[in-house]
Amino acid sequence: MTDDKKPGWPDLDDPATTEDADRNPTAVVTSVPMTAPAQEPSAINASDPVKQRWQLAYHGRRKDLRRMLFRHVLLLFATVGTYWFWSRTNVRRYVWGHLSVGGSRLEYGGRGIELFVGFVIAGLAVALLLWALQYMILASVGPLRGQAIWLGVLYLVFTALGVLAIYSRHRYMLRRTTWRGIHCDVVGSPSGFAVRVAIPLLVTVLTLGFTYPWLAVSIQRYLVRNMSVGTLQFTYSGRGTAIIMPWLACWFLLPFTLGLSLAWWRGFALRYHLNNMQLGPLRFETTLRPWRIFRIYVVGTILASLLVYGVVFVLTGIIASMSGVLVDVFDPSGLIINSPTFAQMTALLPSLVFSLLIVFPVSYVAFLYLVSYMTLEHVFETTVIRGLIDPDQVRKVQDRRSGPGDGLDILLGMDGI
Amino acid sequence: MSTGDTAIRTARYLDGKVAQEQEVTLTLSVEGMTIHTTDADITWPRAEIELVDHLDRGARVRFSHEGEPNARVVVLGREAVERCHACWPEIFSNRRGGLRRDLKRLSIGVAGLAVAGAMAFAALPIIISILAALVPASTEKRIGDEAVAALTVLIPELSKRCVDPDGLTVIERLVETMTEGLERDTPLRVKVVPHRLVNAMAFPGGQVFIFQGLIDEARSGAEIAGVLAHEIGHVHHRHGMERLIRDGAIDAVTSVFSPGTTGSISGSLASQIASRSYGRDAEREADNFAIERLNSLGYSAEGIVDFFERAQTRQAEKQDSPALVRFLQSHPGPEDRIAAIRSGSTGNGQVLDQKDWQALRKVCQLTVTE
Repeated sequence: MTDDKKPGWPDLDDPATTEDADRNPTAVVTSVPMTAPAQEPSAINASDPVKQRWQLAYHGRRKDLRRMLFRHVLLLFATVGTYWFWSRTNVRRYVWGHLSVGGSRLEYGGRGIELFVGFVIAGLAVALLLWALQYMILASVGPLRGQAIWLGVLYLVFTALGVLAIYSRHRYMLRRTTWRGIHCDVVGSPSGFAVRVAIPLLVTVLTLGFTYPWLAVSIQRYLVRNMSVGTLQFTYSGRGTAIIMPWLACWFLLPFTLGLSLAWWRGFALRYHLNNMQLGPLRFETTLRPWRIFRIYVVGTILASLLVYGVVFVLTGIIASMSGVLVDVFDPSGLIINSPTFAQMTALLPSLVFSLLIVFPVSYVAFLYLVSYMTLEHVFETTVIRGLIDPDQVRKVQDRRSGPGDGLDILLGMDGI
Repeated sequence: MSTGDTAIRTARYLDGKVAQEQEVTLTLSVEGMTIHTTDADITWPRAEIELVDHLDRGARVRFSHEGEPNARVVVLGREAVERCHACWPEIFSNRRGGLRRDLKRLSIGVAGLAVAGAMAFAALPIIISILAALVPASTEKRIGDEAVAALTVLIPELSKRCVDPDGLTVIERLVETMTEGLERDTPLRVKVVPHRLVNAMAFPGGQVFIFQGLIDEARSGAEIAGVLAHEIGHVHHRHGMERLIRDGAIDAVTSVFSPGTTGSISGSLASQIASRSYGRDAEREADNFAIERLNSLGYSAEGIVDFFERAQTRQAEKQDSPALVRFLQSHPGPEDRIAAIRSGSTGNGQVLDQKDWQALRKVCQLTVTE
């Protein structure tokens, strides 16, 4: 697309296109870039503020991302997984940088080191918390009777952390996002978020998920209403009652579809949230198909699992043929000191570490590409922004906020980009 | 303004204050770039220009300036990008967000973490022993009883006792001598169990089990006394309680830092290795306690040495364990312990006379079930 262009007017996601759409308000504004005449004057001039349509266009190519991810697999292997934080950062930079909104690319300004520091801080904090709780239970009721209490405590702690992780991940990503040199921001606080979602969460847990749309909408409302691009504020108008019926259908079908109806729900909820989002006077509209999200999820998961298990299978074969041991290596009991299992395990240690170093990057990259990236691509392809805006009215509010990245979502194994 | 070979017309400028993108002409030179906007000419010196990203397969780059972190210059078109690259190649090799740029901070961070980790690892035993001492005696006793009850399911003989009166008297006297002057908030409970296991065990709350197999295997009272002193050492140092607390810490750290399936496998391996290495420290501590006790009573610690030497021979017959396995075992290698005990032992007195030794050997002639 951008490879062969006319000299002097090289870009296709150019403001001229926006102006073109402006002149024909009835024209369907899609993400398909239109060619503009070479002599078309620029629509964007500081001296000539024109209200503009904001289009969404994605210019990333799967082939490029595949090549990049292949390199990441090698780097992950070479750095014993440490590259993960930089891999995630670079994937985000790629996706943001190739997404154009109103003719200008987004920019992701996060850094790998921030994610790394955030991960270490969150990990140490959670580990200390867990240890302290474990000790308190041990010292008061003992390990045997404490077992049930411990499981309850773990459930509570991880639910709370999961809630906080949603907010901290969202905030970090948005605060590192820039559009036309204007920083996005998220106000509010983790505690404010926790307070806002605590009751819907509790009710949803108690009703075994029955009231989940209420929770989903509460989460989304808090996240979106606290979001802004400079002086431009986001708003959210979704209501839980509007999506209760589809959710109930999905909820009743859960046992019969082995949980797969949730994959459809993901698409449905995504569409609902996007269609109820507004940025100043701009409305988001998406025609994304929940069934397409479902297909991406199911097919992607199957393909990625096949790939990962294929790698595991080949590696197991190689290791087994090298050592001649195919016994149950992971006898977790460890009760009997000097047991042969332990001896075998330690003898296999080098090859085991080696395979982990291969399996982890392959699995991370496969799920990232086949599920998360494909989902995003579909969202970008099917979403348009409607409404007019004067870019002069979008002004900087503050500089880039610094601070460590979100470590919680990594700890909790939240996937995606 | 000069717009010769170095001028680029396919560029845009964002001032970082308003979301307004302007078409600009750039003049490139080895000193930097000049941005010709409608209002003014802005100069960005080469040393202060940074490459933000490199998009569209080389057909679009964004630059920023140190002094104005929010302002951007976007250069469009492969040819224009190539001209920038030819002009300032070093700016292109130092892209933002890459690992290379963070390498210095990462290595400082990792080094700091390693130091902090080593300090925490060194301080952990002290913290753990403080925490173990804080556990109420009643809780510790209950924990020990629960552990014994759980183990009784695996070894039913644990509910049986060897109660031959002559033998019991000898053991009681031994325990009394060993624990003289030791402060304890719960009494030590030493029991002999009719089971062929050549072992002894100490549980939180002061329960010590000696298995019949050990007594049968021993060749002198000194051996039994040595093993008993060792187990009392475990009780004295609250090793059982410490182990529970320490395993909790290892569990918390490994489970948190190893998400996913692959992580949990490496996590369980790491926790086993860490647990075993701590286990060896506990064994050494118990050995030292035994030596000190025996020395202060004027007894020879050679009994334990004899016992270990036989254990060593048995182990050598059983398997030829590689060095790595030996390193990972919970007990220190017998040869290390033998050497440590030999060098530490100062006494030469006999713990039990022949009559007492014979009585002790027959303690399991009479058993009861509790």
